[in-house]
Amino acid sequence: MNFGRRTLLQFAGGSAAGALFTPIPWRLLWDSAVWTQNWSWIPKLPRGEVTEKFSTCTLCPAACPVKARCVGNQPVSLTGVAATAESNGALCPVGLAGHHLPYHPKRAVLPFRRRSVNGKVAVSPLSADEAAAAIAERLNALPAGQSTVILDERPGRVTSRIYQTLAAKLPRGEYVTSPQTEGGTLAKLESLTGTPAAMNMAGADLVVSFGTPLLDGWGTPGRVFAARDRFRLIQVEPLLSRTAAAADLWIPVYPGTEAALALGLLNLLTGAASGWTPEKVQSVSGVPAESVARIAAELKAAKAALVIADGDPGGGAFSPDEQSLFAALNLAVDSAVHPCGVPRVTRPIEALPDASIGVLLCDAASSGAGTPWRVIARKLAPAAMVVSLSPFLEGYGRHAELIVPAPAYLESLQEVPTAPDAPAAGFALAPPLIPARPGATEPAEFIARLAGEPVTLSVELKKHVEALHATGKGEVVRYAGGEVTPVKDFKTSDELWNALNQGACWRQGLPAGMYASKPSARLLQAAVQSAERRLAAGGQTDPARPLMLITTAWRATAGNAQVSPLLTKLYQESELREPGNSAAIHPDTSQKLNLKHGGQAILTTACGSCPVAIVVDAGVMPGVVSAVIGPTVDSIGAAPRNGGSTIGDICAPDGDAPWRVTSAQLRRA
Amino acid sequence: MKHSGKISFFAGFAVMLAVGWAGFPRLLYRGTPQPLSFSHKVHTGEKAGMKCEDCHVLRASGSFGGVPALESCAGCHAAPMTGTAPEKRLIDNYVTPNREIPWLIYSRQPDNVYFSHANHIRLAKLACKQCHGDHGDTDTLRPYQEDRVSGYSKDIWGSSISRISFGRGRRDGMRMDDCVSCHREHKVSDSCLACHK
Ligand code: SF4
Repeated sequence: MNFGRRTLLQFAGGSAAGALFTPIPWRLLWDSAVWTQNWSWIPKLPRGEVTEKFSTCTLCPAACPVKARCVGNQPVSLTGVAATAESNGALCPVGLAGHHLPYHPKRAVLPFRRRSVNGKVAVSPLSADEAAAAIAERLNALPAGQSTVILDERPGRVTSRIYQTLAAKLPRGEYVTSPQTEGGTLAKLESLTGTPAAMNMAGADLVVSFGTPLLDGWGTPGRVFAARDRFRLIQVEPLLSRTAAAADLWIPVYPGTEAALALGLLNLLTGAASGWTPEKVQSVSGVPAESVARIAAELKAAKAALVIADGDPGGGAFSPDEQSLFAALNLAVDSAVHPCGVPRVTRPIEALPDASIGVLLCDAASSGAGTPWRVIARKLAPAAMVVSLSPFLEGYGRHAELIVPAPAYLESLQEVPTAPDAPAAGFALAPPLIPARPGATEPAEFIARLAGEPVTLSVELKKHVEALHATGKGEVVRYAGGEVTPVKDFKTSDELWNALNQGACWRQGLPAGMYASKPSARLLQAAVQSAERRLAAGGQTDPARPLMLITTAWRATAGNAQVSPLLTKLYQESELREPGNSAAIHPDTSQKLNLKHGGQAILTTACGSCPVAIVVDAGVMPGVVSAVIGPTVDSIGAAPRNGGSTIGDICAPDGDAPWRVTSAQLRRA
Repeated sequence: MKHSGKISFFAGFAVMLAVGWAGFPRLLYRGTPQPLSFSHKVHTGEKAGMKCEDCHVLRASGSFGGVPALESCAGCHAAPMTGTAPEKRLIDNYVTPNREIPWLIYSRQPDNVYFSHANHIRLAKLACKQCHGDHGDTDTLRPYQEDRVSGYSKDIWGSSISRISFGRGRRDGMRMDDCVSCHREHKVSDSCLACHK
C-alpha cells in the first residue's frame, strides 16, 4: 500500500465522515452557542447570597408593594406581596420588569444641554451646578406675563407639598399637575362637596365604568382583581377593550358622547336632566334606549355602586364638565364611596393660559398616562425653557433643553401616596435597593436650590412619618408576613420610620358611614348644564376628517414613563397587544376605505399625519379609529428615534378635555 | 492495492470515532479539585445520621440556602472531632480564620435561570436524588469539571457525552431541555417565564 496525497485525502474524508458520528460537531455547536452568551463584556450578575427585600412600586400611582429577590444585593426579580391586601401578590407587567429600568438604553447619566445651532441640534454635557446657573439666568430674565411652572404628575406626595412651597418662591412660580391622573371622578366629587372621597371597591356590588381600563391597568391590580368576583361590571366604551371583553356587560358608545348616557341615567335616577329620555340618549350616543333603562335600573337596585370615569391612560381624561356629571351619578345612587382619604390638590396644566410658561420644570414621576407633548406644548411661551428632571432622555426629556438626571426606580428613597382605588388614605416608602448613579439629583432638591430654599427629601419624609406617628392613627402593614401593627403601638417615630424603610405601608382605618347625602338640586342642575355644554361643543365633526380617532395605551408606558425593552419584546413577540402606531378599524370602515388588515395607511388629523399599520377588528365601532400610543419606540428605548410623528403627537388638544377624541382621516399609504 | 482507498477512508473514520468518543470528552473538560475533601457518606451514614436538608436548608422564607455556609460546619467542627487530615485542614484553613470554603458547585445554573428548590421539594415532592443522583452517598468529592468552551459544569450537560443514560432512574443532565421534558411529563407549566424571570 502506497502512502501518498490520495491516501491522505481519503483518510481525511473518512475522518470528516466519522466526525459526524461523534459528539464533536454537535457538542461544539451547543457549547459555542452558550459561549456567545458569556462573553466577558456581557454584564454579569454578581454571585452572592440570595435574599429578599421589600419596597413599593413607584412607576404608576397604584403603589403596589414589591418583593425583590436579590442576589448579592442586586435585585434580579420583582414580585408582588401576597400577604397584603394592597397587592394580593400581583404586580402588573411594567412593575414586574421595573428593576430593568436603571439600565434602560435611554438612561440619562449626566446633565446635558440641547441647543439648536444653525438649525442643527447640538448637545453639550454640563455639571448640575452649571445647569442650575443656566436656569437661574433664565429665571432672572423671565419676560412679563410668563411664569415658572413645576409640573408634578404625581400629586398627593410630600414632594408635591414641597413643590407648592417652592413654586411660591420662584419668579411667578406656579405648581401644576398632570392633565390626567387616576382618581379623576373622586377628585371631582371632592371639589363638588368639599369632602375627600375614597372608594371601597371590595364593598361594591356594581361598577359602571366609563372608558376606564378597570381590569387592564387601573388602580392597584391585586386589589381590583381580589374584589372582581363581588361586583358586576358594566363597561361603557367605544371599543371591545380587554376590560370590556371581561366585563359582565359591554355598552358600546360613540366616542365623546358618554356624557349623553350619563345624562340619561341621571334623568331616570333623579329626574334632574329632563329631556334626556332613553330615546334621546340613543340618538346621540348610539346606546339602545332599553340599555339606558337597564343600567339605570341596575344602579337604582345596587346596594353599593360606583361610577368610575377615569378614562384610558392613552385616551385622555374626561373634561371637568363631564366629570361633574359622573360625580353626581355617584351621589345619586347608594354608593361605595366613603368620606375618607386625604384632600387632593390638583391643578391641571390646562388651567394655565396658552403660551404662558417661560420655564417648565418637569418632575420625574409619571402619572401613568400617555399625555401627548402637544397638550403641554400649547402652554409654553415661544422660546420657553423646558427642564426635564428625569432618569431618562426620552419622555418629556425628548423636548427638553436641559436634562438633569434623577435617580431611577429603586435607586433612591421615594414615597408613595394614596393609590387612586385605595379605600382609605395610605402612605408608603419605597426604600432604595441599589445605589444611585453618581450625578443623579433628586428633582425636589434641585428645584429647592433654584428657589434658594435647600431641602433634603429624606428629611422631609422623616418629618412626615413623625407627623403620622404623632396622630397615633391608622395601622402599618409589613410586607414581610403581612403583620398589621396599629401606629399607636410604635413607641417612637424612629420605630415607625424603620418599619416603613424595611417595606411596609401605613393605611388609615376604614371609616364608618357613607359619603355625603343625596346631591342637591343645585349641584345636579350645574352638572347637567355643564355636561350639555360640553356635548354641544364636541358635536361638530370636520367633513374632511370624518373618522373619530380615540387612543389607548398601556399604563406607565408612554408620556413621561419608560418601560423595560425586554418586557415589551416579550409582549410584542407573543402578540398579546397591538404594537404602538397601529390603528384598529371596524370591517365596515375597512371596506369603505379599501384598507386591508396588515396594510399601511396614513392617519391625518388637524395636527399632522403619521404612518400606521391597519388592524381590522370588529370590536371597534364603525367610523372609529382606535390607535395605540404606548408603549412607543421611545419609551422602550429600542429604535432610533422616529423622525416623523407618532399617533400621540397628532392627537389634538381639545379645550379642557386634553385629547379624548380627534377628527381624523385614514387613507392608503 | 485494490481496496487501499477504502482502508484509508475507514481508518480515518475509525480514528475519528475514537477521538470523538474517547479523547474529546477528556479534552473538553478541565478538572479542578474541590478545596476540601468531604464525605457525604460519613455525614449521612448511621454514625452522624444527618439528612440532606439538615445542611442544605430551605429557609423559612422558602428560599434555598444552597451549599451550607461555614458556620454550619463550624457548629460541629469548631474543635477537632475526628482528628482526620481533612478535618484539620477545615479547621486550620477555614474555621479558625473564619473564611468561607470556596466550593465549586456542580449543579450551578447560569444567571438567567430561576430555580426554586421549594417548589420542587415541597410541591413536586421530588427527592434530591432525582436531580443530584447519588451525590449524597459519595465518600469523596469528585473534581469539578468545567467545560472549557461554555464554562458550564459537566453536570449541566450530564455525565455521558452522548446524553444517553440507561436505567439510572433519574435524569442525567440539567440542561433546559431536561427541565422542559420533566415539566411536560408532569404536566406543569413550561412557559419561558416559569424559569427566566
Ligand atoms: S400597577 Fe403601577 S405600581 Fe403596580 S406594579 Fe404596575 S406600575 Fe407598579
